[in-house]
Amino acid sequence: MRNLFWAYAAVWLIHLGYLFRLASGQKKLSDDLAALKKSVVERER
Amino acid sequence: MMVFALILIVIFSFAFEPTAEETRRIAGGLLWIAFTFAGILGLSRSFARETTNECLQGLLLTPAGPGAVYLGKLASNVAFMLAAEAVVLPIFAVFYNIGLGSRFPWLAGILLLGTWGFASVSTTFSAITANTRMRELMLPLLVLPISVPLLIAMVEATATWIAGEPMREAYLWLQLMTGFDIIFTVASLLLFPYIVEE
Amino acid sequence: MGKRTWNLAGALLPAITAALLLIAFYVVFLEVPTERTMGVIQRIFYVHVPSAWISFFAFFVVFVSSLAYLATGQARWDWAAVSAAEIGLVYCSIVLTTGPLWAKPVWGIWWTWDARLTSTLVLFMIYVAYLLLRNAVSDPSRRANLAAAVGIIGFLDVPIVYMSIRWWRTQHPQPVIAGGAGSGLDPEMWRGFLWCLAAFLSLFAWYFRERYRMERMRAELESLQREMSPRP
Repeated sequence: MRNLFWAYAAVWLIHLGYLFRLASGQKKLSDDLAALKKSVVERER
Repeated sequence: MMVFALILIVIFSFAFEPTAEETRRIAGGLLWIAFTFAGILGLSRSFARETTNECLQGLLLTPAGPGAVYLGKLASNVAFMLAAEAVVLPIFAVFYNIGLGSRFPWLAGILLLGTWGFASVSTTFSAITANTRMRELMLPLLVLPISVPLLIAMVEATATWIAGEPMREAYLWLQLMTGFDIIFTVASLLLFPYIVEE
Repeated sequence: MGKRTWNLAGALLPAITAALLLIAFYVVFLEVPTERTMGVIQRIFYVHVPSAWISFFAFFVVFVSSLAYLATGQARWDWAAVSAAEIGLVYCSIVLTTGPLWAKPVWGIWWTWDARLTSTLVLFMIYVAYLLLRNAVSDPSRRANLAAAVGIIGFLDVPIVYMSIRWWRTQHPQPVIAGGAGSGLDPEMWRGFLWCLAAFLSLFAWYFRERYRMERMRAELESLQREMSPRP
Protein backbone atom coordinates (compact mmCIF):
# COMPACT_ATOMS: atom_id res chain seq x y z
CA MET A 1 0.00 0.00 0.00
CA ARG A 2 1.29 3.37 -1.06
CA ASN A 3 0.94 5.16 2.26
CA LEU A 4 2.95 2.43 3.95
CA PHE A 5 5.77 3.15 1.54
CA TRP A 6 5.54 6.89 2.14
CA ALA A 7 5.46 6.37 5.89
CA TYR A 8 8.62 4.30 5.93
CA ALA A 9 10.24 6.64 3.43
CA ALA A 10 9.45 9.60 5.68
CA VAL A 11 10.88 7.77 8.68
CA TRP A 12 14.10 7.02 6.83
CA LEU A 13 14.37 10.60 5.60
CA ILE A 14 13.89 12.06 9.05
CA HIS A 15 16.45 9.77 10.65
CA LEU A 16 19.00 10.17 7.86
CA GLY A 17 18.46 13.92 8.01
CA TYR A 18 19.18 13.94 11.72
CA LEU A 19 22.26 11.76 11.33
CA PHE A 20 23.50 14.18 8.72
CA ARG A 21 22.86 17.10 11.07
CA LEU A 22 24.84 15.36 13.81
CA ALA A 23 27.72 14.54 11.52
CA SER A 24 28.00 17.97 9.93
CA GLY A 25 27.48 19.68 13.29
CA GLN A 26 30.31 17.73 14.85
CA LYS A 27 32.59 18.33 11.89
CA LYS A 28 32.00 22.07 11.95
CA LEU A 29 32.56 22.28 15.69
CA SER A 30 35.76 20.28 15.59
CA ASP A 31 37.03 22.38 12.67
CA ASP A 32 36.20 25.59 14.55
CA LEU A 33 37.88 24.27 17.68
CA ALA A 34 40.99 23.27 15.79
CA ALA A 35 41.17 26.67 14.10
CA LEU A 36 40.67 28.48 17.39
CA LYS A 37 43.31 26.41 19.19
CA LYS A 38 45.70 27.02 16.34
CA SER A 39 45.18 30.77 16.57
CA VAL A 40 45.77 30.60 20.33
CA VAL A 41 49.11 28.92 19.68
CA GLU A 42 49.96 31.50 17.01
CA ARG A 43 49.06 34.31 19.34
CA GLU A 44 51.31 33.01 22.08
CA ARG A 45 54.24 32.85 19.75
CA MET B 1 -5.77 45.02 26.87
CA MET B 2 -9.51 45.43 27.46
CA VAL B 3 -9.81 47.18 24.13
CA PHE B 4 -8.00 44.39 22.36
CA ALA B 5 -10.34 41.79 23.84
CA LEU B 6 -13.33 43.87 22.77
CA ILE B 7 -11.98 44.27 19.25
CA LEU B 8 -11.51 40.53 19.02
CA ILE B 9 -15.08 39.90 20.16
CA VAL B 10 -16.42 42.32 17.58
CA ILE B 11 -14.40 40.66 14.86
CA PHE B 12 -15.67 37.28 15.97
CA SER B 13 -19.20 38.66 15.55
CA PHE B 14 -18.42 39.30 11.91
CA ALA B 15 -16.88 35.89 11.48
CA PHE B 16 -19.56 34.00 13.41
CA GLU B 17 -23.18 35.15 13.35
CA PRO B 18 -23.86 35.98 17.04
CA THR B 19 -27.52 35.11 16.96
CA ALA B 20 -27.13 31.70 15.44
CA GLU B 21 -27.55 28.64 17.60
CA GLU B 22 -24.13 27.24 16.72
CA THR B 23 -22.43 30.40 17.87
CA ARG B 24 -23.95 30.03 21.30
CA ARG B 25 -22.17 26.70 21.50
CA ILE B 26 -18.79 28.17 20.58
CA ALA B 27 -19.39 31.42 22.50
CA GLY B 28 -17.42 30.09 25.45
CA GLY B 29 -14.45 29.40 23.21
CA LEU B 30 -14.63 32.83 21.61
CA LEU B 31 -14.67 34.53 24.98
CA TRP B 32 -11.62 32.66 26.15
CA ILE B 33 -9.71 33.24 22.93
CA ALA B 34 -10.31 36.94 23.43
CA PHE B 35 -9.17 36.83 27.05
CA THR B 36 -6.18 34.63 26.30
CA PHE B 37 -4.73 36.73 23.53
CA ALA B 38 -5.45 39.98 25.29
CA GLY B 39 -3.96 38.48 28.44
CA ILE B 40 -0.73 37.52 26.75
CA LEU B 41 -0.37 40.97 25.27
CA GLY B 42 -1.03 42.63 28.57
CA LEU B 43 1.11 40.31 30.67
CA SER B 44 4.10 40.34 28.37
CA ARG B 45 4.73 43.83 29.65
CA SER B 46 4.73 42.44 33.18
CA PHE B 47 8.41 41.65 33.41
CA ALA B 48 9.52 43.74 30.50
CA ARG B 49 8.88 46.79 32.61
CA GLU B 50 11.16 45.47 35.31
CA THR B 51 14.17 45.17 33.05
CA THR B 52 14.56 48.93 32.77
CA ASN B 53 16.63 50.45 35.56
CA GLU B 54 17.30 46.97 36.94
CA CYS B 55 14.06 47.08 38.90
CA LEU B 56 14.00 43.33 39.15
CA GLN B 57 17.32 43.12 40.96
CA GLY B 58 16.10 45.80 43.31
CA LEU B 59 12.91 43.89 43.99
CA LEU B 60 14.84 40.74 44.68
CA LEU B 61 16.80 42.43 47.46
CA THR B 62 13.72 42.48 49.67
CA PRO B 63 13.99 40.11 52.62
CA ALA B 64 10.83 38.33 51.51
CA GLY B 65 12.79 36.54 48.82
CA PRO B 66 12.12 35.75 45.16
CA GLY B 67 9.04 33.68 45.92
CA ALA B 68 7.30 36.71 47.30
CA VAL B 69 8.22 38.68 44.18
CA TYR B 70 6.60 35.98 42.09
CA LEU B 71 3.43 35.88 44.15
CA GLY B 72 3.22 39.64 44.15
CA LYS B 73 3.56 39.75 40.38
CA LEU B 74 1.06 36.94 40.04
CA ALA B 75 -1.50 38.61 42.26
CA SER B 76 -1.24 41.89 40.41
CA ASN B 77 -1.49 40.12 37.05
CA VAL B 78 -4.57 38.22 38.19
CA ALA B 79 -6.17 41.45 39.41
CA PHE B 80 -5.31 43.13 36.13
CA MET B 81 -6.86 40.35 34.06
CA LEU B 82 -9.94 40.09 36.26
CA ALA B 83 -10.53 43.81 35.95
CA ALA B 84 -10.39 43.57 32.17
CA GLU B 85 -12.71 40.55 32.21
CA ALA B 86 -15.17 42.39 34.41
CA VAL B 87 -15.52 45.04 31.74
CA VAL B 88 -15.49 42.77 28.70
CA LEU B 89 -17.88 40.15 30.06
CA PRO B 90 -21.05 42.28 30.20
CA ILE B 91 -20.40 43.58 26.69
CA PHE B 92 -19.88 40.03 25.50
CA ALA B 93 -23.15 39.02 27.17
CA VAL B 94 -24.96 41.81 25.33
CA PHE B 95 -23.54 40.89 21.93
CA TYR B 96 -24.13 37.18 22.30
CA ASN B 97 -27.40 37.40 24.23
CA ILE B 98 -26.23 35.49 27.23
CA GLY B 99 -27.95 36.10 30.52
CA LEU B 100 -25.37 36.71 33.23
CA GLY B 101 -27.75 36.77 36.15
CA SER B 102 -28.56 33.12 36.64
CA ARG B 103 -25.81 31.00 38.22
CA PHE B 104 -23.32 33.82 37.99
CA PRO B 105 -21.21 32.52 40.92
CA TRP B 106 -20.32 29.49 38.79
CA LEU B 107 -19.09 31.68 35.97
CA ALA B 108 -17.16 33.79 38.45
CA GLY B 109 -15.55 30.62 39.79
CA ILE B 110 -14.57 29.45 36.31
CA LEU B 111 -13.17 32.89 35.52
CA LEU B 112 -11.19 33.03 38.72
CA LEU B 113 -9.67 29.55 38.33
CA GLY B 114 -8.90 30.08 34.67
CA THR B 115 -7.42 33.52 35.13
CA TRP B 116 -5.24 32.39 38.02
CA GLY B 117 -3.87 29.47 36.04
CA PHE B 118 -3.26 31.50 32.94
CA ALA B 119 -1.63 34.32 34.88
CA SER B 120 0.59 31.92 36.79
CA VAL B 121 1.94 30.39 33.58
CA SER B 122 2.25 33.78 31.87
CA THR B 123 3.99 35.43 34.82
CA THR B 124 6.56 32.65 34.98
CA PHE B 125 7.24 32.66 31.26
CA SER B 126 7.27 36.44 31.21
CA ALA B 127 10.13 36.29 33.69
CA ILE B 128 11.84 33.61 31.63
CA THR B 129 11.60 35.52 28.36
CA ALA B 130 12.23 38.95 29.87
CA ASN B 131 15.80 39.28 28.66
CA THR B 132 15.72 37.05 25.61
CA ARG B 133 15.74 37.87 21.93
CA MET B 134 12.35 37.90 20.20
CA ARG B 135 10.71 38.25 23.58
CA GLU B 136 7.27 39.15 22.21
CA LEU B 137 7.21 36.01 20.10
CA MET B 138 8.68 33.63 22.67
CA LEU B 139 6.06 34.37 25.29
CA PRO B 140 2.96 33.15 23.43
CA LEU B 141 5.02 30.35 21.88
CA LEU B 142 5.74 29.02 25.36
CA VAL B 143 2.54 29.92 27.17
CA LEU B 144 -0.06 28.63 24.72
CA PRO B 145 1.01 24.98 24.37
CA ILE B 146 1.58 24.70 28.12
CA SER B 147 -1.85 26.22 28.78
CA VAL B 148 -3.72 23.83 26.49
CA PRO B 149 -5.28 21.85 29.36
CA LEU B 150 -6.40 25.08 31.00
CA LEU B 151 -7.88 26.39 27.77
CA ILE B 152 -9.77 23.17 27.09
CA ALA B 153 -11.12 23.13 30.65
CA MET B 154 -12.17 26.77 30.58
CA VAL B 155 -13.95 26.47 27.27
CA GLU B 156 -15.74 23.26 28.19
CA ALA B 157 -16.83 24.53 31.59
CA THR B 158 -18.02 27.82 30.12
CA ALA B 159 -19.88 25.99 27.37
CA THR B 160 -21.68 23.89 29.97
CA TRP B 161 -22.59 27.06 31.83
CA ILE B 162 -23.84 28.88 28.72
CA ALA B 163 -25.89 25.91 27.61
CA GLY B 164 -27.66 25.93 30.96
CA GLU B 165 -26.66 22.38 31.73
CA PRO B 166 -26.13 21.37 35.36
CA MET B 167 -22.67 22.41 36.53
CA ARG B 168 -22.22 18.94 37.98
CA GLU B 169 -21.20 17.89 34.47
CA ALA B 170 -18.35 20.38 34.51
CA TYR B 171 -16.87 19.16 37.80
CA LEU B 172 -14.14 17.32 35.93
CA TRP B 173 -13.03 20.55 34.26
CA LEU B 174 -13.20 22.55 37.45
CA GLN B 175 -11.04 19.95 39.19
CA LEU B 176 -8.60 20.03 36.30
CA MET B 177 -8.32 23.79 36.52
CA THR B 178 -7.81 23.68 40.27
CA GLY B 179 -5.14 21.01 39.93
CA PHE B 180 -3.45 22.91 37.14
CA ASP B 181 -3.44 26.11 39.19
CA ILE B 182 -1.95 24.41 42.23
CA ILE B 183 0.71 22.48 40.33
CA PHE B 184 1.85 25.44 38.28
CA THR B 185 1.85 27.96 41.07
CA VAL B 186 3.91 25.66 43.28
CA ALA B 187 6.29 24.70 40.48
CA SER B 188 6.73 28.35 39.53
CA LEU B 189 7.43 29.31 43.14
CA LEU B 190 10.10 26.63 43.38
CA LEU B 191 11.67 27.49 40.03
CA PHE B 192 11.47 31.27 40.29
CA PRO B 193 14.78 31.74 42.17
CA TYR B 194 16.59 29.95 39.35
CA ILE B 195 14.78 31.95 36.69
CA VAL B 196 15.83 35.32 38.06
CA GLU B 197 19.33 34.23 39.11
CA GLU B 198 22.06 36.38 37.64
CA MET C 1 31.42 7.29 32.44
CA GLY C 2 35.07 6.63 31.81
CA LYS C 3 36.76 7.67 28.61
CA ARG C 4 37.22 4.09 27.47
CA THR C 5 33.56 3.20 27.95
CA TRP C 6 32.60 6.36 26.11
CA ASN C 7 34.79 5.54 23.14
CA LEU C 8 33.64 1.93 23.19
CA ALA C 9 30.05 3.07 23.11
CA GLY C 10 30.81 5.30 20.17
CA ALA C 11 31.96 2.30 18.17
CA LEU C 12 29.48 -0.28 19.42
CA LEU C 13 26.25 1.69 19.40
CA PRO C 14 25.99 2.15 15.64
CA ALA C 15 26.72 -1.53 15.14
CA ILE C 16 24.18 -2.68 17.72
CA THR C 17 21.62 -0.26 16.34
CA ALA C 18 22.10 -1.44 12.80
CA ALA C 19 21.76 -5.06 13.86
CA LEU C 20 18.61 -4.39 15.87
CA LEU C 21 17.09 -2.40 13.05
CA LEU C 22 17.70 -5.22 10.62
CA ILE C 23 16.16 -7.78 12.95
CA ALA C 24 13.20 -5.52 13.64
CA PHE C 25 12.64 -4.90 9.95
CA TYR C 26 12.75 -8.60 9.25
CA VAL C 27 10.36 -9.46 12.07
CA VAL C 28 7.93 -6.68 11.19
CA PHE C 29 7.75 -7.38 7.51
CA LEU C 30 8.30 -11.06 7.19
CA GLU C 31 7.18 -12.75 10.38
CA VAL C 32 4.30 -10.78 11.81
CA PRO C 33 0.90 -11.60 10.28
CA THR C 34 -1.05 -8.95 8.42
CA GLU C 35 -3.73 -7.32 10.54
CA ARG C 36 -7.24 -8.44 9.67
CA THR C 37 -9.25 -5.23 9.44
CA MET C 38 -6.72 -2.65 8.37
CA GLY C 39 -4.49 -4.74 6.19
CA VAL C 40 -0.91 -3.95 5.30
CA ILE C 41 -1.14 -0.30 6.37
CA GLN C 42 -1.26 -1.42 9.98
CA ARG C 43 2.47 -2.10 9.79
CA ILE C 44 2.95 1.62 10.31
CA PHE C 45 1.99 0.84 13.90
CA TYR C 46 5.41 -0.75 14.43
CA VAL C 47 7.17 2.52 13.77
CA HIS C 48 4.48 4.92 15.00
CA VAL C 49 3.91 3.66 18.52
CA PRO C 50 7.50 2.78 19.56
CA SER C 51 8.59 6.21 18.33
CA ALA C 52 5.94 7.78 20.56
CA TRP C 53 7.23 5.82 23.54
CA ILE C 54 10.85 6.84 22.82
CA SER C 55 9.95 10.50 22.40
CA PHE C 56 8.15 10.42 25.72
CA PHE C 57 11.17 8.75 27.29
CA ALA C 58 13.40 11.44 25.77
CA PHE C 59 11.32 14.21 27.31
CA PHE C 60 11.54 12.40 30.62
CA VAL C 61 15.32 12.50 30.25
CA VAL C 62 15.03 16.25 29.64
CA PHE C 63 13.05 16.53 32.87
CA VAL C 64 15.54 14.58 34.96
CA SER C 65 18.53 16.37 33.41
CA SER C 66 16.92 19.74 34.05
CA LEU C 67 16.34 18.86 37.69
CA ALA C 68 19.91 17.59 38.00
CA TYR C 69 21.25 20.75 36.43
CA LEU C 70 19.40 23.01 38.85
CA ALA C 71 20.47 20.84 41.75
CA THR C 72 24.16 20.49 40.86
CA GLY C 73 24.91 23.39 38.53
CA GLN C 74 27.04 21.06 36.38
CA ALA C 75 26.96 21.95 32.71
CA ARG C 76 26.92 18.34 31.55
CA TRP C 77 23.33 17.98 32.72
CA ASP C 78 22.44 20.91 30.49
CA TRP C 79 24.18 19.17 27.59
CA ALA C 80 22.14 16.05 28.35
CA ALA C 81 18.91 18.06 28.45
CA VAL C 82 19.34 19.72 25.07
CA SER C 83 20.45 16.47 23.47
CA ALA C 84 17.44 14.57 24.77
CA ALA C 85 15.08 17.39 23.75
CA GLU C 86 16.33 17.43 20.19
CA ILE C 87 16.15 13.66 19.80
CA GLY C 88 12.72 13.65 21.41
CA LEU C 89 11.59 16.08 18.72
CA VAL C 90 12.98 13.82 16.01
CA TYR C 91 10.89 10.92 17.27
CA CYS C 92 7.92 13.24 17.77
CA SER C 93 8.15 14.26 14.11
CA ILE C 94 8.01 10.61 13.17
CA VAL C 95 4.86 10.09 15.22
CA LEU C 96 3.23 13.16 13.67
CA THR C 97 4.18 12.13 10.12
CA THR C 98 3.24 8.47 10.34
CA GLY C 99 0.00 9.20 12.18
CA PRO C 100 -1.78 11.03 9.35
CA LEU C 101 -0.30 8.67 6.75
CA TRP C 102 -1.93 5.85 8.70
CA ALA C 103 -5.16 7.71 9.34
CA LYS C 104 -5.93 8.67 5.74
CA PRO C 105 -6.42 5.19 4.25
CA VAL C 106 -8.08 3.87 7.40
CA TRP C 107 -10.40 6.75 8.32
CA GLY C 108 -10.44 8.80 5.16
CA ILE C 109 -9.14 11.92 6.92
CA TRP C 110 -5.59 13.09 7.59
CA TRP C 111 -6.12 14.33 11.13
CA THR C 112 -8.62 12.94 13.58
CA TRP C 113 -7.90 14.92 16.77
CA ASP C 114 -7.20 11.58 18.37
CA ALA C 115 -6.17 12.11 22.00
CA ARG C 116 -2.73 10.59 21.71
CA LEU C 117 -1.84 12.24 18.42
CA THR C 118 -3.10 15.63 19.55
CA SER C 119 -1.16 15.36 22.81
CA THR C 120 1.94 14.55 20.78
CA LEU C 121 1.33 17.69 18.74
CA VAL C 122 1.13 19.85 21.85
CA LEU C 123 4.24 18.14 23.20
CA PHE C 124 5.99 18.90 19.92
CA MET C 125 5.10 22.57 20.27
CA ILE C 126 6.32 22.74 23.86
CA TYR C 127 9.73 21.30 23.04
CA VAL C 128 10.14 23.32 19.87
CA ALA C 129 9.59 26.36 22.07
CA TYR C 130 12.19 24.91 24.45
CA LEU C 131 14.79 24.77 21.68
CA LEU C 132 13.84 28.21 20.34
CA LEU C 133 14.23 29.67 23.82
CA ARG C 134 17.72 28.20 24.08
CA ASN C 135 18.61 29.84 20.80
CA ALA C 136 17.37 33.18 22.06
CA VAL C 137 19.67 33.33 25.08
CA SER C 138 23.39 33.93 24.59
CA ASP C 139 24.79 33.58 28.08
CA PRO C 140 25.38 29.84 28.70
CA SER C 141 24.53 29.69 32.38
CA ARG C 142 21.38 31.81 32.03
CA ARG C 143 20.41 29.70 29.05
CA ALA C 144 20.84 26.53 31.06
CA ASN C 145 18.82 27.89 33.98
CA LEU C 146 15.93 29.09 31.85
CA ALA C 147 15.93 25.96 29.74
CA ALA C 148 15.89 23.80 32.86
CA ALA C 149 12.85 25.69 34.15
CA VAL C 150 11.02 25.12 30.87
CA GLY C 151 12.17 21.51 30.73
CA ILE C 152 10.67 20.87 34.15
CA ILE C 153 7.44 22.79 33.63
CA GLY C 154 6.96 21.27 30.20
CA PHE C 155 7.23 17.72 31.42
CA LEU C 156 4.99 18.33 34.44
CA ASP C 157 2.42 19.54 31.95
CA VAL C 158 2.58 16.42 29.79
CA PRO C 159 0.22 14.18 31.78
CA ILE C 160 -2.16 17.08 32.31
CA VAL C 161 -2.21 17.81 28.59
CA TYR C 162 -2.89 14.18 27.82
CA MET C 163 -5.71 13.86 30.34
CA SER C 164 -7.38 17.09 29.31
CA ILE C 165 -7.35 16.18 25.62
CA ARG C 166 -8.59 12.69 26.41
CA TRP C 167 -11.52 13.99 28.43
CA TRP C 168 -12.21 16.53 25.71
CA ARG C 169 -12.30 13.71 23.19
CA THR C 170 -14.73 11.66 25.24
CA GLN C 171 -17.11 14.64 25.10
CA HIS C 172 -16.67 14.95 21.34
CA PRO C 173 -15.72 11.50 20.10
CA GLN C 174 -13.72 10.96 16.95
CA PRO C 175 -11.86 7.99 15.51
CA VAL C 176 -8.85 6.68 17.40
CA ILE C 177 -5.61 6.09 15.56
CA ALA C 178 -4.39 2.96 17.29
CA GLY C 179 -6.27 0.53 19.43
CA GLY C 180 -3.87 1.16 22.29
CA ALA C 181 -0.58 -0.60 22.74
CA GLY C 182 -2.13 -3.21 24.96
CA SER C 183 -5.56 -3.65 23.51
CA GLY C 184 -5.69 -7.18 22.26
CA LEU C 185 -2.33 -7.28 20.62
CA ASP C 186 -1.42 -10.59 19.05
CA PRO C 187 1.69 -12.12 20.70
CA GLU C 188 3.27 -12.17 17.25
CA MET C 189 2.65 -8.45 16.98
CA TRP C 190 4.14 -7.89 20.42
CA ARG C 191 7.37 -9.44 19.13
CA GLY C 192 7.52 -7.02 16.23
CA PHE C 193 6.67 -4.13 18.51
CA LEU C 194 9.32 -5.03 21.07
CA TRP C 195 12.05 -5.52 18.50
CA CYS C 196 11.23 -2.10 17.05
CA LEU C 197 11.22 -0.58 20.51
CA ALA C 198 14.64 -2.09 21.24
CA ALA C 199 16.03 -0.86 17.93
CA PHE C 200 14.72 2.67 18.45
CA LEU C 201 16.04 2.73 22.01
CA SER C 202 19.48 1.75 20.76
CA LEU C 203 19.20 4.45 18.09
CA PHE C 204 18.27 6.93 20.80
CA ALA C 205 21.37 5.96 22.79
CA TRP C 206 23.57 6.42 19.76
CA TYR C 207 22.00 9.77 18.84
CA PHE C 208 22.32 10.86 22.44
CA ARG C 209 26.00 10.07 22.67
CA GLU C 210 26.73 11.95 19.47
CA ARG C 211 24.56 14.95 20.29
CA TYR C 212 26.02 15.16 23.80
CA ARG C 213 29.51 15.08 22.34
CA MET C 214 28.50 17.88 19.97
CA GLU C 215 27.21 19.98 22.85
CA ARG C 216 30.36 19.38 24.86
CA MET C 217 32.44 20.59 21.90
CA ARG C 218 30.24 23.64 21.55
CA ALA C 219 30.69 24.44 25.25
CA GLU C 220 34.45 24.11 24.86
CA LEU C 221 34.38 26.37 21.82
CA GLU C 222 32.27 28.97 23.59
CA SER C 223 34.51 29.09 26.63
CA LEU C 224 37.67 29.33 24.49
CA GLN C 225 36.11 32.18 22.53
CA ARG C 226 35.23 33.99 25.70
CA GLU C 227 38.78 33.56 27.02
CA MET C 228 40.21 34.96 23.82
CA SER C 229 38.03 38.01 23.40
CA PRO C 230 38.91 40.80 25.82
CA ARG C 231 36.14 41.52 28.31
CA PRO C 232 34.57 45.01 27.92
